[in-house]
Amino acid sequence: MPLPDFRHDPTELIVLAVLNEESLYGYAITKRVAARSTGDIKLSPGVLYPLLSKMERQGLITSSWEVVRSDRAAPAHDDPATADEPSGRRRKWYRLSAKGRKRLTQHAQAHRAYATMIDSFLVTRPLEDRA
Amino acid sequence: MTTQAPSSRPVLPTADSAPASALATASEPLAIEPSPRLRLSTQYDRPMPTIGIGTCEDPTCSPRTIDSFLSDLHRHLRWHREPFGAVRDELESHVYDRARDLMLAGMSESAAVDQAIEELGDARSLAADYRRSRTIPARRFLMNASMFLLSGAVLSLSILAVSSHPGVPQSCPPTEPDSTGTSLLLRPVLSDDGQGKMFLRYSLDPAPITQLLTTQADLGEDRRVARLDIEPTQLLLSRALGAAQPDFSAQANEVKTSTFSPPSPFPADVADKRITLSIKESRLEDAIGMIAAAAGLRPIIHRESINEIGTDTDTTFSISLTDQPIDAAVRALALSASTSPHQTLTARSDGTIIEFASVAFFDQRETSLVSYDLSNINAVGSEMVQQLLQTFVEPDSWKDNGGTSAWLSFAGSKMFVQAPKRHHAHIQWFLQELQSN
Repeated sequence: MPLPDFRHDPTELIVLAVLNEESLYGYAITKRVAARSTGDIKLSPGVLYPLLSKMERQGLITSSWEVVRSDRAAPAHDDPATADEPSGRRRKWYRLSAKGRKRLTQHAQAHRAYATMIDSFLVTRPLEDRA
Repeated sequence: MTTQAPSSRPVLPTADSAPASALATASEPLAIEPSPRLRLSTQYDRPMPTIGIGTCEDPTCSPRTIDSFLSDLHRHLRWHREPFGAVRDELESHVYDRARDLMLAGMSESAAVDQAIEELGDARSLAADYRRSRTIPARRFLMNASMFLLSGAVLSLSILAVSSHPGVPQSCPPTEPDSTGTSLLLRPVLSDDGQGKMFLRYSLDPAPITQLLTTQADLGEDRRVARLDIEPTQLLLSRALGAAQPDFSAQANEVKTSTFSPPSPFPADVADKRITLSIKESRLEDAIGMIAAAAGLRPIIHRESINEIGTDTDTTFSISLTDQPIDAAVRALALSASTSPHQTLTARSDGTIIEFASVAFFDQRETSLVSYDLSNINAVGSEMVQQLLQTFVEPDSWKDNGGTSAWLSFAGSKMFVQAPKRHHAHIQWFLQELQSN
């Protein structure tokens, strides 16, 4: 099992993993990751959206659009100020592709091999013995 | 407008994995949420934060809005060929969702929107990250370029060796790659079935589309190197305009080839129709209507499936065709409207109507189970057949490759394949080639 590239950003692996569970949109991904890591991992929009764009271009994920009707966008078109409002915003959902699942499997195996290798250094002398 | 959910409706965050606010944001109507006019009119009631390029520390400077941030982002992205609408809509939606969560936590609307925009970061940096996500890393580019040059050098030497072979007619044309780089094959890879034929895969990859051709080169007894002249630009144009593909067999004095040509998706009477049309700056729906009218067909648009491939419905198209088959118009429109090589639209017709939808839509509708008799190619072996098919025929679609739309199984001399119609045409070509072996 080849070891992972140590310079590899784990963000892609994390995003692949959460999308493997279910389809999500960008903001839901950030919240899912934060919830799973009890807030330790925060994906900023500046990191997440370019990454999603890259992963989509690589065919790792596919996307679809949902039109979300605003709760307060009630038919208020009698108000000239809101007459031109769009009736819904668009939300982009992402799901893992077959290629993405294969990439996730490869990365997960490499990650586990790496973790096992590091663990082999730690089990020889329990950390608490250092005291 | 009603909510349009994707065909396989996404599952929303569950209670055990997302905070309560996430559930509320995604699914429940709430009294607390940003104004629906947020993106057009949001103003700030306190000194401006750092947004977009530069810092506005002077309280007297004009307030910034989501629109102004996105305008800065668009300017820094400098995308001229790709629609900005998708990025704009996604970031707007993010700000909206984030602001709503912050308001649920007790913030005022203006402060929530303020923070949501600020969290997007600097527009210049974000634009740089987007640009970086769409460029090939220098290392990979150098590797690809090196491999291409190396392949060209090896091929040139091989061709020179073949030219000096006594069995080659002196009338053979010069076989060195021309200096303009417009000839020769790209990435000759994959399997040799051990019986004198080698399958070659050509990936011509000028953005924004990937053209994948598969052909077969008969290497003959002396295993001469195949020489196939391909001019990528001409090839793309000819495919886009529906013209005949380059005839590889024209190089018959050097190598025998057979090229798979996908069958027309239209019945003969529709495929033979020639149309002339000029579409200028028209939206997708209007462009489809014009193509259908020019062919004398009634248009049907499966909007949900087209939305799923992310085509920006506000994008306009300009297509000019003179006396071309209708397939050429569909291809030209698909090339312009596709968001990626794997997410494109296509059309079908029964002679009275013409339907436009995503390839995935038609794949799902046209999937069928077919049995193939392999008794004539027993010598090849089922493993080789499986390897060839799952390597060349829509590789990502096969269950064995992690896909979800194509299945294959063997029973004695029979092979059963459940897959979309377009797979079967390609499979039949492979089996015929193996039989002719």
